[in-house]
Amino acid sequence: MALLPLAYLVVRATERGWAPVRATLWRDRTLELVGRSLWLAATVTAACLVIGIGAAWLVSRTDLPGRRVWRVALGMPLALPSYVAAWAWLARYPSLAGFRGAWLVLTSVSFPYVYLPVLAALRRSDPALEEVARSLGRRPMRVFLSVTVRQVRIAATGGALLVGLYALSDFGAVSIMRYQSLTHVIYISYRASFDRTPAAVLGLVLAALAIVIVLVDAWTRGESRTAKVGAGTPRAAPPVPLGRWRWPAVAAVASVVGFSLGVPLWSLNHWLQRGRSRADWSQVVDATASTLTVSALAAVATIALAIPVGVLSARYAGRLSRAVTAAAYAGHALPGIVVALALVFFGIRLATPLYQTTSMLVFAYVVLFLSLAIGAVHGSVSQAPPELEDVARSLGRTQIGAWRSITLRLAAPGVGAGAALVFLTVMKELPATLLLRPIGMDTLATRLWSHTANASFAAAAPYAAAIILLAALPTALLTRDRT
Amino acid sequence: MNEVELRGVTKTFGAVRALRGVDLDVPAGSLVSVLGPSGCGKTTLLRVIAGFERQDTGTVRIAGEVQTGPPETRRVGIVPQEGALFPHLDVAGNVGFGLRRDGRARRVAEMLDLVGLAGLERRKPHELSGGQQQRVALARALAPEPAVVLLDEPFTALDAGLRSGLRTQVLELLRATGTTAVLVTHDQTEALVMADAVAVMREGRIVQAGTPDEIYLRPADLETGRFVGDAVILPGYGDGATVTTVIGPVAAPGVQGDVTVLLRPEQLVRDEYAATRAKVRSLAFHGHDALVTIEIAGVAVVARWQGGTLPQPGDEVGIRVDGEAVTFSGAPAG
Repeated sequence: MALLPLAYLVVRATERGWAPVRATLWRDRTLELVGRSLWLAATVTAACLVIGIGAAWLVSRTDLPGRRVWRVALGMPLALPSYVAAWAWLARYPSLAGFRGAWLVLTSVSFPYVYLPVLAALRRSDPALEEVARSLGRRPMRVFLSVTVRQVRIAATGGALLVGLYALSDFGAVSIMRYQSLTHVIYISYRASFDRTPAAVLGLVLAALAIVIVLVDAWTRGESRTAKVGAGTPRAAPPVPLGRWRWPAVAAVASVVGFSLGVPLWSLNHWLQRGRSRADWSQVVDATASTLTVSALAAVATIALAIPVGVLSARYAGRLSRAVTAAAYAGHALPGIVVALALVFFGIRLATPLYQTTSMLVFAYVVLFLSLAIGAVHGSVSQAPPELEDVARSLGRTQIGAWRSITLRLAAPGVGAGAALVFLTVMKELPATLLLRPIGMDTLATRLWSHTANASFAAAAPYAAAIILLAALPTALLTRDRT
Repeated sequence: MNEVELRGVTKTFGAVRALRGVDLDVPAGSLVSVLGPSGCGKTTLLRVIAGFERQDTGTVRIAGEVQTGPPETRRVGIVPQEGALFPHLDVAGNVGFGLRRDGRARRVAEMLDLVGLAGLERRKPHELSGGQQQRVALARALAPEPAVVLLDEPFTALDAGLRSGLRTQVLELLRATGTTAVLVTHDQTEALVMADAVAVMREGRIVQAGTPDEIYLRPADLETGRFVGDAVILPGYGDGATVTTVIGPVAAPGVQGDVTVLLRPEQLVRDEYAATRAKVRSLAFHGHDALVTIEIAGVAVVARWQGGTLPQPGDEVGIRVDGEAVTFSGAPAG
C-alpha cells in the first residue's frame, strides 16, 4: 500500500511514452532545480549539525548558566511547522524571500532533529571513556574530537538524515519564501498547466533523490557499534568549566532560541494584534474543527494499521515482517508532495468516487505517516517481554486473552504516544492536504497558506496561532515522559 | 504415581534436534531437577511440558492424562528465570492473576503469608528486591494449585549470598504445599542440593536419572561424571580387584583390563605413611576447604582438603585413595 503511490507515479509519468519524460528531464531547468534543492538540503543539514551538536554539548556537558531551561527550549522549535515559521519571518521581513529565508527557516525549525538524539546519546554515553582518554595523555580538545564526537556520531548522522530529507521534501517554507526548489515547482506546474506529465516526472526525480539519500545513509552507517560490557548506569559527567567563554556561549544559545522561537512568536503576536478586529472567527472555528477531525481520523486509521505490522515485526523477525516494515518506511521517505501527486492521479483515474473525499485524504496521511506509528508500536511491544505472555497462559489465559491483558496493556502508553505523534504530524501537514482536501473543506494549514499567498499576513495570523496552540498539546504529551 | 510422565518426546527446530526422545518421570510431590549445560534442550523440555511448544512425537502426561491442549488448560505453573512479574500490576495483582474472582483476596493473602511477604500487597514489582520478586513469582505460580510447577533457572539472576537462602525457602515451600516441581538448571550444586531426583541432560537426551548421590558417585559416563562435580581422571589397569594408577592401587572389584578411572578430589587423602608421594603445586583456598593441585609422577590432579593444616606449594605429601573408583572401559582420550 505504501509503495502504490510511487508505482502509480511511474505509470502516469510514462503513459505518453518516453519522449515527454526525456524532454522534461533534459531541460537545463530540471538540472538547475535539482541543484537548488540539493544545495538547500546540504546547507541546512550542515548548519543543523553544527548547531545541534554544539547546543547538545553545551547544555549537557558544560556549566552553561541556565542550561536546564535551554535544554527544554532548544527542543521546542520542533512543534513549529516550517510554513508557520516562514510566514512569521516573511510577514516581518519581506526582503528575506528566496534562498536566505528558506535556509534560515528550515535550519531554525529542523536543528532539533540533530540536537535531540545527540543530547540523548551524550547523556547515555559513559564519561569513563573520556576519562580513560585523558589518562592516556590526550588533551581535552582532542578528547572531545576523538572520543566524544565519535560517541555521538551515529545519533548525529541519523539526525542529519532526517534534516536532509526534511529540507529536500519541505514544501511550505520554500513556497512561502518563493525559493524555486523541486517541491515548489512541482506544485506550480501541477496547478498551472493541463499537461501534468512534467509534474509527475519532477515528482519522480524528487522521490529518487530522497531514496538515494536513505540508501547512502544505510550504506555509510556500516558496522560501527559502541560496545559495552555490563549493564551499569554511567555516572553523570562532571561539567566542563567554560571560563571566559561562559557568556559568549549563553549568547549563542540564546540567539538560536531567539531565531527559532522568539522571532516567529513576536511576529505572530504583532500580526495577531493588528488582525484581530478584522478576523472572521467563524472561519477559524470551522477550520479548527476540520483540522481536528481529519487529524483524529488519520491517527486512528494509522494506528489501527500499525498495530498488526508493529506487533508482527517485534515478535516474529521473519522475512515477511521485514519486508512489510521496509515498505512502510519507504512511504515515510517519500516527500508529501510526491505522495499527494500520485494519489491525485490515482484518484482521478482509478478511484473517481474517492477523489477529493475525506477518505482519500486520510489514506494519504496513512501512507505518509504509517512508519511513525509502526516505530512507536514496534518499540513499545518489543519492550514487553514475551515470557510474560507465557506466564499469563500458564495461569489460564488464552493466547488472545494473554496478549490483551499483558502485552497490549504494557504497550498502551507507547501506542498512545504513536497516535499523538501521528495526530500532531497530520495537523501540521501542508502539501498533501492542499492537493487532496475535499472541495470546500479548509484546514488551519490551508487557510494559512491561501492568506499568505495573497500576502494578507494579518488574516493569516489567527490560523498560525491556532496551529501553534493545537500543536503544543500533543507535543507536551509526548515530551512529558522524556524530561 | 507419576504426576508428570514423558515418553519418547522429540522436538526439532529446523535443523536443530532439540529433544531426541526424552523419557522423564516426576513422582507426585517430588522435586526433579533437569541438569544440563546451556543448549542441551532443557528449556525446550519445559516449554513442551507447559504446552508452549508441541512435541513432534511422544506423549506428555500430567496427572495421568495425555496433554495435547494449549498451556491454559494444563494446570502447569511456571517460574521463569527472572521472575517475569507483570510490571503494571502490584504484588496482589500478580499473585491473583490466575485466580477466579471469588475468594481471590483470601487466597492471595494466604499465599503471601506462605512466602513471607504479607503486607506487601500494594507494592509494584520494581519496588521489590530480587529475592522478593522470585518469591512473588513462586506465589503466583502456586496460587491456582497447579498439578506441577516448572522452575526455569529461577536463582541464576540472584547474587550468591541470596541464592542459597532462597533455595532453602523455596524447597521448604514446595514441601509444605506438597507441590510437584521440575527445576531446570545448569548449576550442579543447585541440582544436587535441592532435588529428590536428578535427570542429567545432554544433546537432547536424558543420559542419566537417579538420586543426587547416585549421579555424583556413580555417573553413567565420563562426561556426566565431569559435569556434576570436580573430577580426577586417570588411566588405569584392572586385575579384577583393584585398578593400578599413577596414584597407586584403587579398589575396583570386577574391573579387568585398560580402563579410565574417575575419582572425586575428596577421595585423595593425605597420609604421611603412604607410598605415593606428591608435590603440591598450588592451592585454591575456599575457607572451609581448599582445592589443592598436586603432581604425582608428572601428572597433575586435584584434591579437596579441609582448611586448617594445609601444605604450602612446594611441599611433599603422601597420598592414599579412599573408597572405590568409578571406571569406564578404554583408556582416556587425549
